[in-house]
Amino acid sequence: MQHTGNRLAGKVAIITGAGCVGPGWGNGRAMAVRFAQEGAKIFAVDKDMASMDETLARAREFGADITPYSCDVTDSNAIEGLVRECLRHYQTIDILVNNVGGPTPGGPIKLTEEQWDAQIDINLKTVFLMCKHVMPIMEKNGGGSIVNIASTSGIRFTGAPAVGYAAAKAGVIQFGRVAAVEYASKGIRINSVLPGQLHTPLVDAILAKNQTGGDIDALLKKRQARIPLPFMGDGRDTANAALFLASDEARFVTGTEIIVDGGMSARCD
Amino acid sequence: MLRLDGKVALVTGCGTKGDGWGNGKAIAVLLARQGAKVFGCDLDLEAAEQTKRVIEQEGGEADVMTANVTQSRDVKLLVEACMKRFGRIDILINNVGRSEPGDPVTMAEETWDDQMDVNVKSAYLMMKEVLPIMEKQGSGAVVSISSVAGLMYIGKPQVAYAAGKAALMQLTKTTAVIYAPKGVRLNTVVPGLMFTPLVQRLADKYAKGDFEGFVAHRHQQVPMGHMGEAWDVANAVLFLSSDEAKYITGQEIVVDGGITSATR
Repeated sequence: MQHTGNRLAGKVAIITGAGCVGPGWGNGRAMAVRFAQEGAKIFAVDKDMASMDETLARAREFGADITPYSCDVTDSNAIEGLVRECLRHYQTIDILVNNVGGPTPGGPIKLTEEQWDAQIDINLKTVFLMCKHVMPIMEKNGGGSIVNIASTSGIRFTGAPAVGYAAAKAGVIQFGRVAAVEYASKGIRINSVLPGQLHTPLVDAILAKNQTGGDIDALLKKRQARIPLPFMGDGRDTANAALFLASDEARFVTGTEIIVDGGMSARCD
Repeated sequence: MLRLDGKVALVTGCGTKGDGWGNGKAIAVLLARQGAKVFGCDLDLEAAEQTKRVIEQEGGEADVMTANVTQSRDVKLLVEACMKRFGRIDILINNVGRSEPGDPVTMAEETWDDQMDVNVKSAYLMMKEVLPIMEKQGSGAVVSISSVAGLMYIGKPQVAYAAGKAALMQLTKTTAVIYAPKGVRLNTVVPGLMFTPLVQRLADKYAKGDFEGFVAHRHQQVPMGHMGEAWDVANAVLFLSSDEAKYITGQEIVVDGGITSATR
């Protein structure tokens, strides 16, 4: 079997953060596999090459064309190399998914200045730098689709303070809206997916340590209590929304967001 | 996974007057293409019949009837007829709506009441009859069709339409939280300026019939430089109706070419 669908047939997609901190469905891994299922060629990027092993294995199960590349996407020079290598390998870039990011806990007093700077760099500047290097290529090609993975933390308090993360993710959303308007007439669409409290490997590997002293079940219970739907989604739900936005089905959708949170942000009770 | 095989979709306002593709017709036909059996209604039976013919010509299954979904009696009959024909309702599309011009001073009270009825009470009545069926099934997806006019001023006085569409979004969002534990998802698609057959009627109402001028103005209002088409709305509806959106509820997808992200 080559792939199961053709919604992205023949398109080249760069997906950053395509690895995962543990086994299972993180957002980046799920997107790489889902996009490949729909016929896209995937240029999979992560700082940690080994974290992409499972991503590659799952995508290659159905014969996907996927190329891993190691890169620190907070580094403009490194991104230049990334884009050059993607073009050398696949000749073009149709889709860019900016998926790198992660929260550091803390409000204004607890968070150190260094942590603040690092949060802005990894969650927001990565989006700016990737767009800076990829958008000229899309403009020359007459179009492209960019999907930024933001978070419901960018629009509200979601149970644990992380002001640097929240501010940066709000920045990602607004960056997307404003750049989308500027480039709409050039055929480049930019949108964001806002995942809510998904059960991804990040929860088990990192968040439980930060928020409930390593008690994963306690954290999952707290998170589920905020979610109207009676289950927690995972990276595959993010991937389906990103796929819709990346595809030509969304050709009139730009400068907006899809919230994938089981209804969490529709309530404040 | 965008397949809807074995599912039944009820689509209100499924017809388009004359040729061309309005939102309801495109939605009904796209859901049918993905495998859903479609039950549709429209005030205009001939328009609904035409949608049915298109679906059947493509090998799909559909039935239609005339109904005024601002009337609870009609809504009851519609839902009964759908259940009798297909036995279940997995997808409900609240697509009925209409804009009338006016601000609080110039709009007659009767027009205001009528605008509330057609733009939001219609969805309330449909939910009233369909949600118990979805609850019993343990699953269902409702998609309401709103408008960017429900989010902000978009260039013409239509205060009742704007208020009604905003109300429709909030009706859908809050009902989504209440029905989430029962496995029913409710979301809204928010179209911007679309180039549908309706534009002719809007040009008559808002631009003294200057169709060419009205169309050119609407194209340039959109950052993309052109209006969207009914298929763009239908694609978003399909995504939200499908199991691919199983974790999405109480939300909106704006399909507007960027217009609501800018004040230029």
